[in-house]
Amino acid sequence: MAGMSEPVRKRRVWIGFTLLFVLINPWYFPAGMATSLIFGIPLWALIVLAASLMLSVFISWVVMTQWHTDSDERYGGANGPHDREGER
Amino acid sequence: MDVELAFSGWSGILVLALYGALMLGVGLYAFLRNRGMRESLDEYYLGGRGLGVMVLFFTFFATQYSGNTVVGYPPAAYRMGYHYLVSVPFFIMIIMVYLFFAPRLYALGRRFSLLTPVDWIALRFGSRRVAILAAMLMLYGLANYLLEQFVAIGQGVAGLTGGTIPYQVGVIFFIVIMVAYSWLGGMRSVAWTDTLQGLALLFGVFTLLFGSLYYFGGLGSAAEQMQAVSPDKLAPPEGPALMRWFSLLVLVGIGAAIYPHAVQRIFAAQSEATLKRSFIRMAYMPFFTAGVVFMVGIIGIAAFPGLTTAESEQLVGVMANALANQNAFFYWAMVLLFGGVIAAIVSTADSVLLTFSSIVSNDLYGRYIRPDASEYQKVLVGKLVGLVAVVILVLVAWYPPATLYQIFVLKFELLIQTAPALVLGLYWTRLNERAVFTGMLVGALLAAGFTFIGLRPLGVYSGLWGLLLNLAICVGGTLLSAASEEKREHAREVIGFCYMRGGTP
Repeated sequence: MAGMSEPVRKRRVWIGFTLLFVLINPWYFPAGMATSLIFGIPLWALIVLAASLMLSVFISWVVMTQWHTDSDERYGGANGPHDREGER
Repeated sequence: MDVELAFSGWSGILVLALYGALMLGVGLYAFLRNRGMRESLDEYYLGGRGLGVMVLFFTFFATQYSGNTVVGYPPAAYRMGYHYLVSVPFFIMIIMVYLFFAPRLYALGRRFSLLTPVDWIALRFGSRRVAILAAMLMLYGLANYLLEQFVAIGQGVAGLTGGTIPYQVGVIFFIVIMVAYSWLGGMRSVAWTDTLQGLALLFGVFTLLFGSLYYFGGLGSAAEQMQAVSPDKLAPPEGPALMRWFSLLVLVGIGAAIYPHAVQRIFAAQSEATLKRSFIRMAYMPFFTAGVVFMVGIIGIAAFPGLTTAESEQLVGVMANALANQNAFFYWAMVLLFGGVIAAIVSTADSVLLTFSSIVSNDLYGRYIRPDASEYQKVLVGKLVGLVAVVILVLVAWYPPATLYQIFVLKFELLIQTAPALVLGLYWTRLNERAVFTGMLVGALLAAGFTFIGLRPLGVYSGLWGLLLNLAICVGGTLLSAASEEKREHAREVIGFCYMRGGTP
């Protein structure tokens, strides 16, 4: 079962989420940032939105590559109602 | 909605009746397709653990985005300007937080046939008091959540029909329909109606955005208005505003991810692949919903400047009115939007009610009161207790108590206190049952206390203070005295992924 993987056990997932969390909090803008507008949107807001989009993309990557368990093969799933009652 | 909507009256009634009939039809269809459903808890509360990608995605979506997202967020954006942009990343945070527990919880749900979040807590800690306290906190939080939805349905119906239908009749009409389709089809009809309700909501907010952009001008004129009148709405948040941004991200991220009705949907997924695909879609939805309604609120700043706080609460009604007066297309689009808003409220309420009933059925009645009852009896008790709760909540909604109003406000603050047991318990075998119980209890009391006296130290929300204390007690208590070896062995067996690989299932 070499393919087993959980996001919570991956250091790169923690690092990625921490970095992106830091970026979606707008603490790193100098005062006076309000004056720069692009298409009527403040630049800092666009940067926060870009960071948010990066978070969404990173989430997709984590879900697709860092999350594999064998629960369906072992305990049923994928094929409608599971056929076993579990262990209790 | 105090604003008299231009399209209120018979067209509103028509759309509401149509929505009602459609939802009832879905419930009937679910009932006829799955005749044997009432026999089993799994079938009734989790749709037989067979929800596919589309339906699972929409039920997550419609449960998370309520009618409040549409009518409540634009006013907030109107008042706070770009400081309310936080509403986009906080919805993404929810999915991020899911990734820290959903993969394992899904696997455990399959392995042990878990039905509710309390089910997991009871299995993990084997402790009556932890399970009952968690169940109580969840039931209390869910009940208040439901109450809020009922009040919103009443206001929505009264606004949309321009008083043609009295407030009370509207509420009763939708609650009867909601209970009827939930009873008929359980999770299946709730999830299928969520799909319809989600589509109606998406159509509505996009029409509102395009209409606003076309008739009221774009973000540029809003920025000019803000620059002239209140430049701080354009500037990046600082000090307390930044703190609020941060605590909203944390509170909403954790809080909404561990909402009991959200957790329960993890168990309802047909497969791991289904759950994963639904999450990926959910990760982008904030841009198309929270982002869209945020823009609507910003456009409102230029289109309807100078509204007071109370007036700004009606912003969406005011804008919809103005759009409905333009032409027949927007007239009907706005009727659909407001129908969609009510549908979105109903779709949140039905999920909450179903989870409420499942906790009563499975975790109180089924586990402690009459463990030997048949599944049919357990489902029946859940339905009936849910109905009694609904009747009480409707009475509270109509006759709001003059004092002790705050006891009906607590939701998030209490629900979030079950997070350490739910999430830490998944990974930490040493976690001590006594520490978990004390943390949950003290955290809930602190959060409730801060809410009652209106204390918000450092601008951080009361629920988060409760959670911090709760977490400190859980971790501190466990470090001081870890769970006994016997209990750790049980925990290892229950959560160990390595055991799932090597041991016999």
